[in-house]
This record gives sequence, C-alpha cells and structure tokens, in this order.
Amino acid sequence: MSENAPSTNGVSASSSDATPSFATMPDPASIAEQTPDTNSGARQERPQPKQASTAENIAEAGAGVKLTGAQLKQRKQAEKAARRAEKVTVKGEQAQIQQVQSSSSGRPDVKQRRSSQGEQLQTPQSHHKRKLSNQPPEPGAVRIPFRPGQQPPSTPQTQQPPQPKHAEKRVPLVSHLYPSGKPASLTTASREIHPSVLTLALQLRNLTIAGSTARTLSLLLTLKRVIKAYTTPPSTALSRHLTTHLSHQISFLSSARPLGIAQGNAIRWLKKLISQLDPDLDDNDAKKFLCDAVDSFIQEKVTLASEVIASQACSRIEAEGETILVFGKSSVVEKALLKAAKDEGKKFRVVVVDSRPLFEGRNLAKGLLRAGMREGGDLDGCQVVYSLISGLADALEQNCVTKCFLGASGMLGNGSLYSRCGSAMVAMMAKQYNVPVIVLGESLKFTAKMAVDSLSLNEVGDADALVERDESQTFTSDVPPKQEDAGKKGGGGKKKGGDEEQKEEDEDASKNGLLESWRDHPNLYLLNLMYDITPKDYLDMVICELGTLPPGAVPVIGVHGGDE
Amino acid sequence: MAPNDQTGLATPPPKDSSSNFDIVSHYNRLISSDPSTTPAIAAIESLIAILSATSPSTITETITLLQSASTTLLASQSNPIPLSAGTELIQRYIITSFKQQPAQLSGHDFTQLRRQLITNSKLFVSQTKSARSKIAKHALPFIRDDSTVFAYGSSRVADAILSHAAESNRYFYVIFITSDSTDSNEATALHQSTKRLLAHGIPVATIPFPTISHAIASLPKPQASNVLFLLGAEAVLENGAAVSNLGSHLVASVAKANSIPCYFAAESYKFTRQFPTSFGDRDLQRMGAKQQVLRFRSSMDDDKEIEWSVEESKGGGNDGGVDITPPELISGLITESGIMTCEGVAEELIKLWF
Amino acid sequence: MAADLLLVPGLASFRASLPSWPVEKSIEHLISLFRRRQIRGPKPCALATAWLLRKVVSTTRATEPGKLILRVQDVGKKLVEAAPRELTVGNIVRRVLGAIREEEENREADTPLGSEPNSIPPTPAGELPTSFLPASAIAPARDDSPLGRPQNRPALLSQQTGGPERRPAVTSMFSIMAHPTMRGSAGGSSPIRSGSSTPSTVPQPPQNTDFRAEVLEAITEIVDELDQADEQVAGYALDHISSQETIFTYSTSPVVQRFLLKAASKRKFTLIQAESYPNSHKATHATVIGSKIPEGYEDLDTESFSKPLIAYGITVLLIPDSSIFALMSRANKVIISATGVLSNGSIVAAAGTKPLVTAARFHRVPVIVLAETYKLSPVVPYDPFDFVDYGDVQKVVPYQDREMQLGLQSVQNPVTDFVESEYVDMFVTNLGGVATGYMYRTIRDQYHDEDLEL
Repeated sequence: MSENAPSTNGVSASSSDATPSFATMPDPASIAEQTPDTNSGARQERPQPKQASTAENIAEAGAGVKLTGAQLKQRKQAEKAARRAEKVTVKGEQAQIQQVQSSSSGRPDVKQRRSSQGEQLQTPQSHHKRKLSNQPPEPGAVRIPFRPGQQPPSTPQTQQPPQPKHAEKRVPLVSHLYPSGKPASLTTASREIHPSVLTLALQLRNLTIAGSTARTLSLLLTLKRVIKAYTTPPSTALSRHLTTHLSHQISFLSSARPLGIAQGNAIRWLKKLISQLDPDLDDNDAKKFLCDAVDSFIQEKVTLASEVIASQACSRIEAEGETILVFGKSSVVEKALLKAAKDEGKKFRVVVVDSRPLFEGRNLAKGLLRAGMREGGDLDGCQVVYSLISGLADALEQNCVTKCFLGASGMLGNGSLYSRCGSAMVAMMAKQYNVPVIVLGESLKFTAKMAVDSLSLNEVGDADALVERDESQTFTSDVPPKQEDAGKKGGGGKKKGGDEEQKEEDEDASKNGLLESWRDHPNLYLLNLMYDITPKDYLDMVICELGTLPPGAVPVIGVHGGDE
Repeated sequence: MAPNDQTGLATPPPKDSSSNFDIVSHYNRLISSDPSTTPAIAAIESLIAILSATSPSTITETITLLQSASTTLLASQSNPIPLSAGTELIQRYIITSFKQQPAQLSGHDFTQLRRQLITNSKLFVSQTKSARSKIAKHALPFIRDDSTVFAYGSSRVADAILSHAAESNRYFYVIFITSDSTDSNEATALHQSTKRLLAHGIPVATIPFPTISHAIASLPKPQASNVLFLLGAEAVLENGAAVSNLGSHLVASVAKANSIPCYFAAESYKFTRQFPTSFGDRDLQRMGAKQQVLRFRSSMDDDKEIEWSVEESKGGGNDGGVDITPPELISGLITESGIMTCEGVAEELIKLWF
Repeated sequence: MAADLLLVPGLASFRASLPSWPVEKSIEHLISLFRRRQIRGPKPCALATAWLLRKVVSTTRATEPGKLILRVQDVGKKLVEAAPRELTVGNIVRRVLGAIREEEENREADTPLGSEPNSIPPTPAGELPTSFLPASAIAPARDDSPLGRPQNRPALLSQQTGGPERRPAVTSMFSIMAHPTMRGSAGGSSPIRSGSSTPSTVPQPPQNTDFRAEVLEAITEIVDELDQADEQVAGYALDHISSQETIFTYSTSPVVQRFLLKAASKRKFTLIQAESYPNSHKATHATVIGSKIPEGYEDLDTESFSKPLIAYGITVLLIPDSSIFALMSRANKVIISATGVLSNGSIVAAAGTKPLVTAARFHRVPVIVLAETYKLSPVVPYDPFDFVDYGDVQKVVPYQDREMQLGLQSVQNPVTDFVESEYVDMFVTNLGGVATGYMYRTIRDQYHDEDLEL
C-alpha cells in the first residue's frame, strides 16, 4: 500500500524529448459520452512506481535526469492500465462520487469520468483535433487503435454501481477542502493532455513526487516540454492561445493533486511572461525564449536558491555540539544538513521526527544515514536519531536540542508557516524547550494568502492511508486488503512458521484490518490532512535566498501573487 | 520603655512590670546574638519572655498583654511581616488553648496553665531550629547531579539546602545572583557559602543581578536542561505568595519566562494570614512594612534621599528591602513537612484559624 | 494446575494461580510478572497487587496490627521495586496499609484512652503533603505536620505499635495544639474515602472480632472499588459534556470510553480522536470501530467495547497524531485519562499528551483529566522524567529495517509523558470533579502519612 510510497523530492523528469509510446485517448467525439468506468469494485490498477526507480531519480534539484528504463516501464504500465480500463464494461456513471485527491493506489476506488471536463473541452475540441493531426508525431509515438471491445459511448448505464461501499466520505469539518471537480485519471484525460503531463499527474497523485520544491520543479520542466511540443493553431496568436493550452494542462494536474503555493507562483509567473511576449516573435523563437526563461527561472528560483539557503543555514550550525531537530523530509533542509556535514565538516546530531501516514522522516533519516552520518560512515562525527511525533516531548528532553529546522510548502502573508501536517506541533514543542525554530524556504514559496487556523487552507489526503497495514507484509498493492490478508497468511511474508505464529499472524492481520471497513460505519470518519499552519509566534526566523527574515517580514519580500 | 535586663523566666517579676519589659530591645538582642534565629522565632521568643516576665493572672490579661506587646514590637520594625507570622502564631496558640479551658480559673490553675504554655512554646521554638535541616533534606531530590541551581538573596535556608546537597556528594553547579543592595552581612554570608561549596568541589559562579537572563541564555545546552531557582522566603502569605529579598519577584519572573522551576524554601511557621491584592509599595505598607521604593523627585537639589530608602531597623530583618512574589511564579514551597503547592498554604492557614 | 499452563503469563494466569499456590510462591510470581512487564497498565497492576495482598493478609500468621503492617510493607516494597514505574502498585499497598491502620485505630478507639469518644473514624491523613523521599533520606516525617490534627488520635501518639520509626515528640508549633493536654474542640474531618469503600458511620467492631477479617474486608472493598471506578467516573459525564460539543481525545482507555458512552446515551456530540501511534493506535482503532477488545484489557472482562460510540450516533473523526494542532482549533474541550496523578496535580499519561495539552493551551481549549482514585499517588515529582516509561523500539523502527536499526544513533519509544499540573484544568475522579489546585488534598486524604514512604 502506498502510504509507504516514498514521497521523495526527487525529480523524475527528463530534459529529453523522448516520449515513449503511449496510449492515445479515445476519439474526441466520444469523450463526452464516454463512460469508462473502471470501478470493478475490487480491482486495483494503479501502477505502483517502483521504489528503486525513484531512488535513482533522487537528484540535486535542477540536474536533469534522463528517463530511465524504469520510467519507461512505468509508462508502459500506465498504458496497460488504461487499456484495461477501457476493456471493462460500463457499470454506470458515478458522477456524484468524488475521489479524494492524490489518493494512493491500492484503493478499489472509483475512477471518475471527467464528464464536466469533457464537456468543457467540447468547443475547443474541433481545432484541437486539427491541431493534433497537424502536430508532428512524437518521436516513437505509436497510435494504438481503439480496442474493438469498447462500448459505444451512448450505452446507458445498465447497472448502478454499489455506491456506498467505496463512496467518498467527506468529513464535514473540512468539506470545503475537498476538490470540486472530478479527479484526474488516465483514461478520462482529453486528447490534448500532453503525455508528460499525464505522467506527472500520476506521479503527483501517487505522491511519488511530493514536496513543494520537487513538485514545482517537475511542473516547470513538464510545462517546458508542453511548450516545446506546442503549435499555435492558425488563427490565433501564441501569446494568447498558449496560455489557454497550458491552463488545460495545469487544470488536469491540479485535478490529480491540488497545486501547491510554489507551483501556483511559478505558473503565475509563466503566464505573465507569456502574455508579455512580443506578438511579432516567430513561434519558434517565442518557444525558445520561453523555454530559456523557464530554465533560468528554475536555475534562479529553485536550484540556486536552495544552494544559497543551504549555505546560510549551514552558517547557523556551529562546528560542534549542535543537535538539530527536523520533521518529515524537506529537500532544502536535507541539503543544508548534508552541506554542513560534508562540505564544512561540522559535527552534529540530527533528531528526525516522523509521523503517520507518510513516514517521510524515514526517507530523510535513510538519506542521511546513506550519506554517511553514522558510526563508521563518511560523516562519522554526525549522528541521526529517529522519533515519532508522539515521542516529541521525550525527544526534546533527552537530546538537548539546540535548533530546529523546518521546511516549508509555503510561507503565508501573516508570517505563518504552511508545511507538512505535524510541523506546527514540532515548532510548538521546540518553543516550549526554548529551541529556536528556523524555516528554510525559497522565496518562490511566499504568498500573500493568509490563514489563522489550519483548516481554512489545507489539502485533504487519502483517508485510506490511515488504515494501517503492516508494511512488511505488503508486497503487492494491487490486491485488495481482504485478499491481501489471505495472501499474507499463505505467503508468510515473515520468516515465521508454526501454529502459534500463524495464529499470531492471523491476529495481526485482523488487527491490521481494523479500520478496513470504516466507510461502512456511517458516523466514522478518517481525516488525513496534508498540511498545517504554524503560527508566527512559534517561528524565529525564515531563511530564503534573499536573506534571513523574521517571519512577519514575508510580505515585504515581493510576494508572488495574491489569492487564486 | 526602660530597658529591663530580665531575659529569662527565672522568677516572675512583680505584676505591673509589663510596662517595664522592653520587648523591642529583647527582640533586637535575640536577633543580634543568635545568627541562626529568624525574625519570627525571635518574635515568638520575645512574646514568651514577656509572658513569663509579667505573669498575668487572667486570660483576658494574657491576651491583652500579648496583643499590645505584639503591636509594639511590630511597629518598631521596618519590615514586620516575618515577625507578624510568629506573633500571630503564638497568640493563636494561646487563645486556642485557653478556649479549651473553663472560663473561670483559679489562680493556681492559671499559673500552672501559664507555665505549661510557656514550656510548650519553648519546646516548639527549640524544635523549629531544626526545621532548616529538614527542609534541606526535602529539597535534596531536586538537586540532581549535573543540575544548575540559581540562588538569590542570602537566605540561610537556601544556603542550608545547598550545603546539604554538597555534603551528600551531589555534583551540581551553583550560580549566586548578587544585588546592588547587598549589605555587608549578606556579602559575608555569600562569601562563606561560596567557600563552603567550593570546598566540596561544587563549581560556583557569581553573577550580578542584571545579567540573569543573559546568564540563562548562556548556559551550555546540556546544563540548560536541568536548571532550577532556589530562593528563601521570609514569609509566606495566604495565597501562597512569598515575601523575600527585593528582587525575588523579578528573578522568579525571569525563571518563568524561561520555563525554569522556581522554588521558595520557608519553614511553616512563616505562614501568615496576610493577603495582598498586589505586590507593590502600598501593599507592603498595608502589611506594616515601611518601604517606599518609588519616590519621585521634584528637583535636583532634593538631596535628602537620592535613592529609595527603607527605614532602618535595628539589626536582623532584611535591610535591602523586600518584595512579594505571586504564587503563579512559584513552582513549589519547600517546607519542613515536604513540598507544598501554593494552593495548599491557604488550607493550612485556615485550619490553624479554624 | 493444568489450567495455568494454557494461559499466557499475565493477569489472568496470576489470578488463576493465586488460590492454589503458597503465598511465597505467589509473591515471587507476581514480582517476576511485574519485572517482565507481563502485567502492565494501571488497572491490571492495581488488581494484581490487591489480590496478592489479600492473600498475604489472609495467610499471614501475624495477628497484631503492627506485625501485619510490617509484613505488608515488606511485600509492598518488593512489589514497588519490581514495577517502579507503575504507580498504582504503590498506591494499593498504601491503601492496604491505611486500611490496617484504620482498623487498628477503630479498635483502639474502643479502649478508653483518649478523653473523647470516637464515633467518627479519625482523620487518617496528616495535614500537609509529606514528600515521598528515597530510602536514603530521612525517616518518615510523620510528625512534621505543622498543623496538628484538630482532633488527634491520642491512641496513636501514645501507642507504639512497632510501625516505622517515629519521632517520639511532636516538633512543630501547630501540632503542640494536639498535645494531649491541649486538644482542639473542633471536630475532625472524616476521612475522604473513594468509591464504594467510603465508610459513613462505621459501627464499632466488637473487640474480639478477628482483626484480619476486618482488614480482608477492607481489601475486598478496595478491589471492588477498582472494578467500579470507571463506572463511577463515567457517572459525571453528563455534567461535563453538553450537546453539539466537539470533544478531543487522545489514545484510548476504558474510563474515557465509558465516560463518553455515558454522555453519548443522552447527548449528541462530535468526537475527534487522535490515535496515539505507535503505542495505542491499534487499541484506539479497535475502540473506535468497536471490533474487539484492545490488547491489555482482555483480562478484565470489560464490556464497554461492545458498542462503540458511533453506534450511538456520535460522529467520530479519527486523525493521526500529526494533525492534533491543526484540529485543536475546532475542539471545545479535551478529555483524556491519566495513568497516574502525582502529589501536586501533575500527571503521567500516554506519550504525546504533552504536545496535545500544549496545543490545547495555545487554542485555549480546557483540558479535563479523568483519573480514578487508585491512580492518585502521593509521590512527589522531583524529576519529571522519572515517570517516562519506554516501550518496544520495534514499534518505531521495525526490526526488518536493518538500515535504520544499524545506522541510527538511538531510537526511543516513550510510552508515557509527564504533564505539569498547570496544563490540567480539571480532574474528574470517582468522587466527582476536583480542581487541580485541590488535587494535592484529595490525594493526601487517601493515604496515611506514615505510608508515604514505603
């Protein structure tokens, strides 16, 4: 199950244009009425990106990483999944049932047909169809014909799906946070969605790419590709039409997972840039200009910015004797710690605090350990300590923490920190123990938006991620839990044997599956918030590439955009 | 009042010598002669002395005598609050014991009763002298190895606690906070405490008062996690507030701001039923202390007093002035019966006074 | 017995073995069960201690109160040493000792020693909280109460029953008032006993009744109280939960569950439940869904899990621990239980409670702590982290994760947190609501001063 999907900040984007073959979308004409419903009740089909491939993809931000063979494999899996989806007979429209954004795979959930989106695309369909046919085919792209078994679009719904079983359960408290549109899916994407965008959407939804910096980076790289592949339709100007085109791509992405603050800022910048293009510019020149601009934007606002921040943060770490508290996994924080240890040879201890369900802290801890922060490793003078969030008080007490570094998803206009859920608690407890709390965040993450509590501005994660499954027994995530349990018992993922242990395993399995049926209980809700807001009072300073600031000075640094 | 050199209870002097017994000088003598005594105890002893010296013959007479003696004594001191704890206590005790007796007592019975009272009181006094060591023992678990103790004001109780901890082979750090108004007595006491602690191998630092916050922030991190403040109280008020050297309130505030526990040590006879509504000059004056810290000048030539002043009391007491530390800043009171919370003080006092 | 062999060592097996084994063996057995943490948790430990002490008292050859006290103290000390972080063990030992002393006093009261008739059982506890001192410190300061008992027990003053060393004379001013020649006329306060063992007017036991039988009866009352405590605390639920409230709770425990269920039967409210990972999240999930009795409670035949809250129409929102701060703004009050309450009102509770109450304080959400009386301990928290207990590290970093296991400098799994009294707004015990500032009093009333140091 994917609650252990490594939510790395790795970039799985490529600077090359080699887009492998991909399943084309069904005929545009049939999109509107198409009702591919992949809800077969129990079938999982999210391809689980392999851990290895993403590990390989962990790179310094900005360094282009070629699409590896594993990436290609991933795409092929996606194709297969799409084909499978198209094969399944219509069960009916589930227009009313929403799917939680960024749902991890493994849930036998509804794939929504973006009927609304499909309708939106009706009008521009025509010229897009033309456009697509005019478009030089992607190198290596192969058009896969429609499967004959595909149901004609006008087939009425024959059966009503078993709705409530896997219905989305919206927590009333945060009903405003659930997305209003239908979530993205491979099969319901319209033709004009660029394949890289599709890939990115999948990666975002599965939390393969997670973390503000990584998402922004991959977004920009993907948009660059889209721009490169773009051709202006005859009767429009690039500067006007490209924006619309990009908007489609972006709304598809945001239906996979709501955009983050930094992503929003980047997009706004790009759109502004496009709108200011010289209309006389030739298309190719314009595209080149845009791509170059994106590159330098990335370089300046992401890559170099994190370098600067890392070295500034480094300078705050003393040569010896520090114990630094961190939470979750932030690429910038990790960078700063490694820089201090490797480049500047400082010796300190890192206390990593982690929480359910994402366990991002584990990735950070492993990253640090692999870099050598262990006894006998390259960075021998440094150590790593790991703790869960319920052990915060003890961790702070026992480890004489001297500083706390937190990463940001965004910095709000009132000086509050918008970051992974749990950061507020870490900052609060750090304050209790008089530990200075330092936020590391690129200025790209600053926004004029404001919120006073954590529920006005947030993102709801996959509730099923909270249903605990014993990690070591999860080998495949495509098998539904009940069968999984049976599989576990039979396969015996552990090296156990004997009746007693079998019994124990049974018990474990039943314990694991405790919350399985949570949707069946009408009054029970599970809420998995992705973010929370740390009040300014708990923060001591913010380090961005433009300097160190007190948190209240965020609006002073030309904020990128207001509400949107 | 003519000085009277009767200090013991050898023979009851003639009946009307109450006016001859100078309680004030008796008190002052006790204070200056016995360094280990406290104002409250000396006050009690003085009252016992006058009781035995003047031998009243009726209950009413006794009570009146004690009351007037107390008033005289308290009026003579610039800071009568600690004394008042003692005088209240003994008066209460005597009144209570009288309540249990029939209203009319024959002369003989009364004398015997009086003798009994005096004996018991002396017993009490003798045993209170050991209170300090009991407090030291109760406080010991607070001073763990590698802890840092901030001490302020030359409190004999606090000193006893530190010495006891040092003798018990604990290794800890002591930081003495000195104040400008440290008079020579205090300076000597400080010097001696330092010597004693160093002799036991306890590292001692001395910092001036204005540097407290800075010192706390400068503690190396391992030390910073195990810190406490230890102050002595002259008196404990009904709501648990502590009367102590001027500056204690500030010290306790700094401790609270840094989430460091702040304990006051006081023997239980220092509890008094006074209850301030605030913590400034007027409240102290209301309780009898002649202290005015805040005094505006109207002209530069006003060279009468450039500094604030405290009317000098003759010996003993706290010449540097006192202030009141509110209960919310006090983490606990260390008494000879154990560690008490501030809320517990009211209950104890109410019990005493029914 | 063959039956024992089938039971996993724990509370149930201990109970089963108790009737048949000789007392010394039972004592050793319990000590080893404690040491190996096969009996853990406040209630199981309390029950086990009470059962054992009942057996000890019933089998002891000592008939004199003094010797009985010594015997119980001896056993008690060993038990406390075996389970140093389980405060309820010490509490029950003290309660039993208190029961013995009370019986003793009742008897003495019959013999006309004092000049006052004792129709009310005399004040059991001293007036001031005496500290719990390590054995190396001074002898019990029983007589250090500066304020004498208004109505003292003349018997105890004059009687030397061979209990712990006592100072022969009273040392403080106020206790002089209690000197035999000077006795206050005010009535003493009746002992505040908890739950079912509150004796209102105890009829004078005839002199010849077996002393031990009385004590055994008292211990049985203690055991009954242990069983009924949850229910009694829950009885106050309606006072504290109003309708349409949002209650925030953390981890799970029988008393909180009962409390909420009681309120749920009459009120509609919303519950935000934080799961307390990794130590009690499974139990929390089980409670929330009502699927099974969580581990650790199987031995106790609790039926409170038969119907979960959601069955009563209460909306339950389960959140991970990281969302506590985020959701605290929506809560009206926090209701948690403590594993132990210390002398000044500070508590020991499930790990993660400290961040929880800190978040509650930030959001100005009141915190109510449910604590049955057997959890009230007279121990003084000199060092807060003495009370933090550690559990299985595997729950934090699984054994399979070799990379982490080998590479990390340290991993801890604290099971409990220490929370200072200032974070608690109110306690609810068997006897009703208790203000934090008054908690020290409630605690001291439960025990005799002499027993504070075991």
